[in-house]
Amino acid sequence: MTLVQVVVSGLLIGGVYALLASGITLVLGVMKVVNFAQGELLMVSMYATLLLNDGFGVHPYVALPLVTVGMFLVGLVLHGGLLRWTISGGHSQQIVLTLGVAISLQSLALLFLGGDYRTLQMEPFLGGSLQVGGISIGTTRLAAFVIAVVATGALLLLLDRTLLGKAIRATAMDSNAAQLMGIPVQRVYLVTMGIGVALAGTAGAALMPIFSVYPTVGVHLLLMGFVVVVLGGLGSVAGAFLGGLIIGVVEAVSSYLISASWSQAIVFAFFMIILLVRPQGLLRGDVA
Amino acid sequence: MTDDLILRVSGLTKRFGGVTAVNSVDIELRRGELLALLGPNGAGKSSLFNLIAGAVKPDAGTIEAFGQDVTADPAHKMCAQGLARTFQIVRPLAGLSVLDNAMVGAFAKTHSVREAQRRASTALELVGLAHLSATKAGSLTLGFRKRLEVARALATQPQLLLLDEMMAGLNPAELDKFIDVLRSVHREGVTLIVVEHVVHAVMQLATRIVVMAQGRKIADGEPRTVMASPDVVAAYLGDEYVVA
Amino acid sequence: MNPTTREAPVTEPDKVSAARAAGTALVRHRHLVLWLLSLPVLGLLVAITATSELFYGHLIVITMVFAALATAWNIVGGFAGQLSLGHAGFFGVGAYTSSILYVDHGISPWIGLFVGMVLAGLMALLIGIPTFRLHGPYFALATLAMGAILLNMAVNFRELTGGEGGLSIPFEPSWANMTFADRWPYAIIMGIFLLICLGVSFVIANTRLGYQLAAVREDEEAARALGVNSARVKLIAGTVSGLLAGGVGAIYAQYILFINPESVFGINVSIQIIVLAVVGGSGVVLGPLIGALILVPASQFLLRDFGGDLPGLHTLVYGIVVIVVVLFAPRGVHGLIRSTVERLTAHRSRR
Repeated sequence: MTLVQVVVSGLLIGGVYALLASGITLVLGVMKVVNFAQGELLMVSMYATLLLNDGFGVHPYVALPLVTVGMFLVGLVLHGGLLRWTISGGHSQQIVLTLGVAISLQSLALLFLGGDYRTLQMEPFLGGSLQVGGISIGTTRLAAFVIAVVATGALLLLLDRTLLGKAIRATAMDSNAAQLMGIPVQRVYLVTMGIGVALAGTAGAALMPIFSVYPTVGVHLLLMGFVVVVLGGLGSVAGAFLGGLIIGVVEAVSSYLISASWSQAIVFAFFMIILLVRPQGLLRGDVA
Repeated sequence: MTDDLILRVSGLTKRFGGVTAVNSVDIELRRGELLALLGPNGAGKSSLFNLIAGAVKPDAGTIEAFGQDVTADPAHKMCAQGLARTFQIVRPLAGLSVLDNAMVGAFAKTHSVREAQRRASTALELVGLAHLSATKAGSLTLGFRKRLEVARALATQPQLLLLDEMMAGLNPAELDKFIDVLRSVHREGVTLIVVEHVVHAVMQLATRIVVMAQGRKIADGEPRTVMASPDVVAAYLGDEYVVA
Repeated sequence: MNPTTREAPVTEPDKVSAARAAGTALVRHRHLVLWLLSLPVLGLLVAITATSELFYGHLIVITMVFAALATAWNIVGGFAGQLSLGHAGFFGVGAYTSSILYVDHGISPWIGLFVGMVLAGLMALLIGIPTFRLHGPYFALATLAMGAILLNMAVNFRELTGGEGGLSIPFEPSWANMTFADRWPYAIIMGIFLLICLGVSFVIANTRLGYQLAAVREDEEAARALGVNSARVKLIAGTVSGLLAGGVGAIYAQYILFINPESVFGINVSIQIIVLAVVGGSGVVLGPLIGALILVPASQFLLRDFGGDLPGLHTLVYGIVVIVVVLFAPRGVHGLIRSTVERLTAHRSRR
């Protein structure tokens, strides 16, 4: 395997990290809430994709929009039922609440779906790859990357061009001022949470053909998501995308050059350094 | 620096982005003075406070207090040396009781809980908050929060006290009470700098007035002389103040 | 201020006022009463551990372990309001330090306990210097990353830590080896350490440091204006907290006699600590203890009775309880008890 090959596969998986991170960064930028349940919501989305395929033979890329919409609704419920009541509380309270949601989802998955690693059995994609100039690109990885690019682009367009996007950005900048300007801040929060969780849905469906799913799969991915969020700049969707690609490459290259087991430590050390040296991240927030 | 000089600010400058909030300001303050700092909104009064109190670092200039250079000293060190300040937008330690708030102030100068409690109670008594000692600071009304802010600062046993717009938003009865408090604090030997918009109240108290505008000091002297200066009246205080 | 304690009507019968005076004295000296009670309670727990079946002994020791951990966390997470998500790191450093010293160098775990505490405290200090400059979510994320780095180091420094496979501590029972066939000696050691953690918390909460930490928690800039050296008090709190968590780690390793990276450095450990403290009531001395007393036995019972058929049920309880507490009793069970007592006494005084 050449270094170029490694960089390419890092970029591709980085797209999925970006997708997961953009959901976290959006919610953080607008609502100032660190959603520790995002990893478990991704896990739920992966299981949903898997079960739709196992039970009804739904192709994962057909399941993707279904899971995305389903998770949007989950996000609405999560906000309306739980988070809404802690918006005025401190960030500790919100973090602990989302931790509670994460623990519950993880436990429920273990309880009802078991602890086994499960993979999608999908013939046309298994092992499929394209050869481009001596580099082999896994088709499912390429698909996940394309999905990530499209979803991020759509989100940026939504934030930039629509009335809803303007309301979201105004709320992120100053929720009090937004409220005074007649923006229904509570509804903006609700929709933001919906979109944030929907992004976990998209990421989960895109990941299912690549990764195995198990109840704690979200923990590692969530940590990667946080690294990306901080690298990209809290509240910056474009930064999350860029950060995702960088972290994907750093992880892939360091596991190629050093070892897979050290690559994580390197990513987190990288993370600590960014936090301490440039806590504002690479880009200013589009939403914050 | 002579013995009775408590504060000397020279050439103090602070820029925020393109705005020069404080533009080479010089002020000298003697022990026992009650200096009123006046000026329109955005004149740089609060920024000057933040600089003197060590909350913000100046871009240029020096601050000497209590006979030594304190330009680089952080806020907590300034407090330990005898400078206390209040915030324009009051910042009660909301989850703590009124007494505990004042005790945190008292701990600036003592390690003993009993002594801190005593000093805190004295300060609360002085501002008329003793009956609310056990109340959570977060549930006080604005008038009481302002008094707590002052009590907390007094509990640190300051030699120099900076009060930032403590009278705004008080009703007339509260205002009279507050002026009494300031008077007794001043009588006890504390040197004060007060930023105020309520000019007539300040006129009763101040031994000296400094007027700022657009980051610069534009007048400095006896209350009557400064307030009579047509420039000050016309340009920076506006007509409504003339009657006072 | 409570008017009842100030002006008791003089016309009241002597008996009532005497009872009330006794009640007031009890309230005023409640700390002393609790501390005096703690030793007989500990003795009773040790006796139960010695005489009852294995499960209950284990339940008592493991509850003490987590109560002590959550109490240690509370010094920085509760008193100072700095939400540390990496406390497993200090627990793990204590556990690995004493285990490595014992297994590889034959040094008594009693010395290992001490060295582990010092190392964990030192590490908390070194990590605290850069991370305490961060605020809110940034601090939480930095501590999370720190925990992840330590976990990865424990996995990767195989020669020292045994890697993923972990470390087994030889079973050679004696007091000198801090290794026992019975559970009751562990209950004594862990119980005393828990009391030390509570004692340290109590002293901090009731002295200058405690007030200054509370001020930092409420509003750091206002605290600084009141003469609080916020960087210093946070570092002291962090170091003491790390030191105590490291001590718990060393004792825990001797109790379980097997540690691996996931069991002591895992993020689940850090999260469990926070859940206990928050459910019990963070920021008050007894809060984490209350949380541990409720949740640890509950999850241990569920694990014993349903662990085989219904895996995940015992952790589900943690998740649901913490959600309910954050939503309906943000000051935890301790806060709930307190406000109930206040409401009852207020009601009585009105009559």
